Amino acid sequence: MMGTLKEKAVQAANKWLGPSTLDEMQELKTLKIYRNGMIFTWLALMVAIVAQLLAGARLPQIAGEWLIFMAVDIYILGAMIKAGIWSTRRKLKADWPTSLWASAIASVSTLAFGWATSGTLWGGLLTAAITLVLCLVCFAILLQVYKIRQKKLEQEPEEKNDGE
Amino acid sequence: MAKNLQLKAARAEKDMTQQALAAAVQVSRQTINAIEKGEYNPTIRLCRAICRVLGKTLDQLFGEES
Repeated sequence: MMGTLKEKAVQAANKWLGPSTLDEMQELKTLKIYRNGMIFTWLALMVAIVAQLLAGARLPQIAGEWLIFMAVDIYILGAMIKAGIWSTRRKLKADWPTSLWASAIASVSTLAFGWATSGTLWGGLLTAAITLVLCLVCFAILLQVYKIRQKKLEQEPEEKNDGE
Repeated sequence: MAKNLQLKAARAEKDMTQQALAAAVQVSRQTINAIEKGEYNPTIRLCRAICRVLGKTLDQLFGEES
């Protein structure tokens, strides 16, 4: 269904705006520009959310930014898992030690943030503990989904040619 | 990436400018320039198109220089 929708969108774009004028190198350059723009936007959204929270904004006030940020994150996560990609870096493996490290970093960041916003260490500790547990659970699920997906992609059978 | 001097030489043999070669294989001049400077690795499809226009083999234009 998404393939057909995408095809229809491309057809409509070609009809109203004309076909692409880019050659293969220019397409690649354009993709790099989009990538850099996306990274900048993602970082800017994160900074905006954190800055507003530190300045005392309540959650409904940052709902817009938060929703967009989460939608982008979910899209990236889903697309990477679908493509059988866990990480772009060799040291960030799809295993428990890496998941533990990542969860610990998220937990410590939440502790610092909770401490900064609530003014008390206890408030930060509680959110840090919850973050650690939630991250570990999410990683456990994602690791399973990723391994299943990667196995499926790696074991895709070769196409048989006519006459074989 | 190393410069593609074979491509430049083959183009000169045919007395073609980068613009002319680009038009013949339907890419921009900057792409041909980037390939010759070794800044861009073309797809196999483009490699074949360039070879066809210049009358050379893949190995002659895009093989590694000994």
